[in-house]
Amino acid sequence: MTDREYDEGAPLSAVRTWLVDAGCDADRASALCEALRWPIDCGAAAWSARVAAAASALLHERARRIWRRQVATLLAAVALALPLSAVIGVYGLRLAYDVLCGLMPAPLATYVVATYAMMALGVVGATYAMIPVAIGRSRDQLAAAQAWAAAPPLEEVIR
Amino acid sequence: MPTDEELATSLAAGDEAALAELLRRYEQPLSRFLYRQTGGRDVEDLYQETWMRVVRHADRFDAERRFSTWLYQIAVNLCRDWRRRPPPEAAEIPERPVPSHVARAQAGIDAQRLLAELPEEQREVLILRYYHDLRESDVADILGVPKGTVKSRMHNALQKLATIVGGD
Repeated sequence: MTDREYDEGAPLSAVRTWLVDAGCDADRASALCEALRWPIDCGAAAWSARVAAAASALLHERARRIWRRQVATLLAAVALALPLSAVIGVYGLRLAYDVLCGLMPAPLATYVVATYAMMALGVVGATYAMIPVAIGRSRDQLAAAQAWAAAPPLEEVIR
Repeated sequence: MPTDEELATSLAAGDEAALAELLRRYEQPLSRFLYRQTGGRDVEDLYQETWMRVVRHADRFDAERRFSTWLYQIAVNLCRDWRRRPPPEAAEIPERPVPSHVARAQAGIDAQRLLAELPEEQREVLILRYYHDLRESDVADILGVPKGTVKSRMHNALQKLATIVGGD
């Protein structure tokens, strides 16, 4: 057996070559290789189905755990971003009010800033209101994916 | 088509479809490996336990490595544990199809008996190398030994087989 065969994987037939090179009778070497050929059909498909069924609950639980972790991370990020965006918003509005007061009468500047503030509040409110909707949709998608994986194969349904 | 390693990563995230695909890809190689390692005893139990370990520890799988190597490592370890258990009473070994009656009669040997004659570490190397056509480096990775050790075990295994055949 050459180093090349060693490096690239060695089919069973290489055993014969090795044995003959080692001085073994060629017929006996062939017989040995024939005997070493061992076709096996042990019904692994049925075992795989049992493995999939046994692992199903574990995988469901894992997927749910990962989903909960992702949601918690998202909510934490959102909760941290809210006070920061509020502070920046208030600071920006006061700055805009001061600038506008130099350009127009104060009541008009108040009106412009207040209108903008209402609009910004509406956008932020709508964005935050979408978060529970997005979480609900994500939960539904997870449940649908798990139901799909748990469904019997199409061949069985047709039969 | 996703690679085995990508499927293993999806499995770690709880993807059942990834498990189904991995089972489809490896059910024949793994079941045959276990069958040859144990001579046909407790194969279903070992097969299921191998996969359950894969599922349980999928989050520990390093995607930089090959999935097949990791799978066979688990299987090899389970087979070693299985051998350490006390033997069951009168285990029934199913008959295998005989490929050539003439050759079998001439040599008076069969794969099951031949493999059983080898020490465990030599049998592992022989099965992974010749039946599963794995490279020497992969066999070394699976068994956790240097390549030189794989080579020497292979040499010893074939020498022993040659002795058995020569002695018949």
